[in-house]
Amino acid sequence: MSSSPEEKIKKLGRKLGADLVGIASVEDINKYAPEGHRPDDMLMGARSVIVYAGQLTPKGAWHSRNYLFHHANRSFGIEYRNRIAFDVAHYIEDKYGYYAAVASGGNLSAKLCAEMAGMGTRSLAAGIVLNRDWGLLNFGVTLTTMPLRADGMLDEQVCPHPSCVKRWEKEGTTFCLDACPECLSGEIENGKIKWMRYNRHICATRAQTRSINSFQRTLLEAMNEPDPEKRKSIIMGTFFGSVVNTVSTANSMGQCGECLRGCPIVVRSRTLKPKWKPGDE
Amino acid sequence: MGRYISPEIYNKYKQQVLEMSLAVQNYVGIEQQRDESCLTDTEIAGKIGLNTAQVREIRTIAFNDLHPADMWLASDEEKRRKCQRYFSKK
Repeated sequence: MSSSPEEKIKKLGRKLGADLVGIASVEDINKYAPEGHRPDDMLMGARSVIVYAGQLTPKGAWHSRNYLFHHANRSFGIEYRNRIAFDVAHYIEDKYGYYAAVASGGNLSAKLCAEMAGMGTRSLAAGIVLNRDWGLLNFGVTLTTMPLRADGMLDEQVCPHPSCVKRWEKEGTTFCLDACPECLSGEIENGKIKWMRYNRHICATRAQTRSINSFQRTLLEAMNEPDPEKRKSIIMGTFFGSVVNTVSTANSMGQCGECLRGCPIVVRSRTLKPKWKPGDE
Repeated sequence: MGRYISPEIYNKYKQQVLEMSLAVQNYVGIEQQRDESCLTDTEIAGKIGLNTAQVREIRTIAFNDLHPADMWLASDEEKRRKCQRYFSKK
């Protein structure tokens, strides 16, 4: 029995390494995305968006008391997910004769595409899209002019988890709000998110402690430092050294996840049960 | 030298541009609110009478300029503390 183009595209995405593949319609995305940030602002005539989601971080990354070890294990994803998007774009062009391209960079919200493709819903933790089974995901996106059947948004919200609703009713907080009150605030009402606020400008100093931003900011600090010995200490010290290292290797993602460390959805998704024990074949 | 925004224009608009940008994100339910903030550079430009390129320059500089350089360094200690707190509670 022959499968549909949607099934074939999803199968290829999974074969290339995605845990989940979803399809969103550009029409749905454009109801929310502002002008200049829509799929068809990038690829003329775009009709569909294919989203690849992967739990690229090994689960063991969360099982370390050393937060730097955790961050190091979360920094491998960007090239990997773009590779899937790239290969599927070529597949669509070769097999179906429709234009396709990879949406990489800051002009299109991958979170919005993922929501519209039914891969998860926004959470109290910075509006990060959480999936009920996979928890925190990284996204890759292919745009195409090919009209594909969209999966559509999920009917039910993933966040808050029932245990968070209980904690909210008892203590007026949740794990994420308690873990990072500087970045996050919000309220739960009738088991759903009533409102939330995300201070991205604070989060950026944590989620991208070593990044182009911190490189620029620290460099400016050094240039403005009149004492040559202090200036030397800033430029040649361990912190700026690690910033330069990160920027030079382009590994600037995933440097914080403290709001999600105790999130019950994420905890469940990263928990393994051994499938083998000593003595088994 | 690339694009350059004058200190006068930068200082006059930096706070306003940041508040209207994605630096602070408000949601009702799970829907991002885009009346006062979470606006694009072009939308901000239209509201405050600058052009898109000027707003983009102001936003990019102001986002880095908002916090002292030490805050990035302090973030390391903050994350270490939060990670330790999580495991100490387990």
